[in-house]
Amino acid sequence: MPAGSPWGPEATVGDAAPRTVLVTGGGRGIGRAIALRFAETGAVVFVNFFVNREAAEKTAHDVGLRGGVAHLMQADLKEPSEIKRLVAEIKGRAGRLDVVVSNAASGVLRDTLDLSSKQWDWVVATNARALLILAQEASQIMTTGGRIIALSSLGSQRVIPGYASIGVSKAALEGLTRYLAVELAPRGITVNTVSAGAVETDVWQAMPEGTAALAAIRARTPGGALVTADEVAGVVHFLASPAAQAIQGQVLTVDGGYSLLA
Amino acid sequence: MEPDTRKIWTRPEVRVDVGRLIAESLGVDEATVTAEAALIADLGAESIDFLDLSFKCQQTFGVDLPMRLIQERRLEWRDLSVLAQVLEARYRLPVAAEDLRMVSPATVGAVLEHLAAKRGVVRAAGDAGEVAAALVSRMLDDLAPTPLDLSGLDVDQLAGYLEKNLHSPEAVEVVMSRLTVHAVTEYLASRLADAGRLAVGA
Repeated sequence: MPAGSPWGPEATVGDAAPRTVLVTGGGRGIGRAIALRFAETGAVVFVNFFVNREAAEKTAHDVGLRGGVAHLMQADLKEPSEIKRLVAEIKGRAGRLDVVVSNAASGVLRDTLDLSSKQWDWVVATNARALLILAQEASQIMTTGGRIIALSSLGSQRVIPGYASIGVSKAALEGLTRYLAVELAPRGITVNTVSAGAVETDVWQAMPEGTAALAAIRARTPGGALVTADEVAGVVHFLASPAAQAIQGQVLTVDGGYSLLA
Repeated sequence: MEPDTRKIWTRPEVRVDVGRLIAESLGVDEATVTAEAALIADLGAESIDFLDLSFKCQQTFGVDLPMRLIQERRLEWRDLSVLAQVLEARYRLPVAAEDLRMVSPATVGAVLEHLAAKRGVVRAAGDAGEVAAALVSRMLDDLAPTPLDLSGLDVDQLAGYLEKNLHSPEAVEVVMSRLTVHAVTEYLASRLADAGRLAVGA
């Protein structure tokens, strides 16, 4: 391994420049863990956030402590113009993008029959269309070895009460992953999605009976433990490594075996 | 995009832009965005609208509109952690919120009965009312840094609601009705003034 390799200790390539990584929704939860994981290998991390600047500033600070370089980027990802601006700013600052982690998500917990079109549009635009626009824009400044990695959840395949808008948006995102993968593969860019099981983040605290739901999921998970944000970040980091070059258009489930059970 | 944090605002400018942003975020006619209109009850705002409004205010004014703070406070009330703290202070013993959540019905009286049976707390005449009043006082203190205008709130009415039902929708409605267009405008103006970005005398 060349000294100072931006790919981390597992790498075998000789590119000495630090990798440039965009993590959408990088201020909190899984996004924060991903940003910090890339920071450990000296990456330049663009930490996108929506409204919680305080959390994003803390993540940016911690990226620096872990050996990375952080740039805060506030943007509303449900607006295509905002995504275009975001990528243009990254191009202006770094000239290129090596890894895009489309992690930002928003949701409305409501029964399917009660969803308003406004709520539907909000969730689908934020969770699914954002990946489309991001891929269209970011791929213009990505080269061979580039990575686009999205985050999904089990609600894309299974029915979770009240989760319709998010689940369907994630199903769209997973389908989009396959189409993007085929179109970007000739350019040496891989597109994959990590479908994470329940991770104990502050999102669950905001849900009615969220704590009880997490306890039930933990009890049902074969290993008896919830997946952690760091574990998800580790898988994302692996997908971004040269070792994962042949993994293309896949949805990789990281749930401790939860979804294996009938 | 980083917001312009050097612009000096006048109060009329703040008022006009707040009205415009609320109309945009909520998708309502700007004519309905009067000073006294309550964002939820009158203009139909919901959680996603508040996220949008918070983003737009940050981008426009360069100061935060901490709507999530209200949400966080509401979660703390809902999971009874605020009540647990009030009871801890009053009876000088550790109280777990998860223990209180098991009590049914969710009234102050039932919670005190539970503590009397399990923890030996001695009940006294009027204690439920006093605990409810202390709970309201604590909740209002917690909400002080938010854009809610809590002036002149009927504290006794609020305590009455919570004494009967710790998850009282009426109590939530009374508090959230204080999130008016005027309150949001004043909140942002005060933050701009704190940052030295509100024109003197404006």
